[in-house]
Amino acid sequence: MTTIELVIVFLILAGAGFMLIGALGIVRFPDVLSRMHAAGMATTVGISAILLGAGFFFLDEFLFYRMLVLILLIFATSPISTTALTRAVYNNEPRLRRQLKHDEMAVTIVEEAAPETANATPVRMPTPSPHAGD
Amino acid sequence: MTMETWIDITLVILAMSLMICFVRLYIGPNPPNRAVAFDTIAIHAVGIFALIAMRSGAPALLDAAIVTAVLGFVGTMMFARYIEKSNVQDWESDKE
Repeated sequence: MTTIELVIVFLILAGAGFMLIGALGIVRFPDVLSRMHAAGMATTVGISAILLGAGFFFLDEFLFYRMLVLILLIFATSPISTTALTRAVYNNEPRLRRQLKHDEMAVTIVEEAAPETANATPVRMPTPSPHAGD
Repeated sequence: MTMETWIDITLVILAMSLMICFVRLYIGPNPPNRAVAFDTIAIHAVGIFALIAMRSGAPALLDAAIVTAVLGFVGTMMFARYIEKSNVQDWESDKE
């Protein structure tokens, strides 16, 4: 095997290992926020390594830059989807919200719901629905 | 060992990882857990597309991998918007 093939084998094996670790984290972690943590980071690194290996494999067909664009796409979209899911879970799971030690979203939701009364009394746990406006 | 053997080993590892993700998709007690499993399965599909393209020497499959990545992102965003607007208060807990 040449040097470039060794690099490709190392990249795809490392990527598959990272994705296996991410899948194990999805099954083994206790609640949905830590599962999102495992799914968002380990699989991003794993798929980047696998796509870099594919780009080196198809280096003659000028596909390396296309793989770089795909890695940039995944690096841009994976945090967006994870953030949207986290926001959905936060809005719908009061039990998970009670476990948080530091809750920065509480004041934000109160300001979004009622902006004229947000400065009157600081509310730590908003009881009304965050979808009152829509 | 040749290149094809290593790619086959990597495909086997990815298939095991995909089965573990389907375990979470099956036992996930509430919709956000299943949405997380769906996101991971979509990313696994991109990796498997890239590996099959390398194994069979068909670089046209990498374009299919790009489309799969975009569709997985759109599907996860759709799930997130649906869960956010559904406003369910009586889901099952994460305890199994």
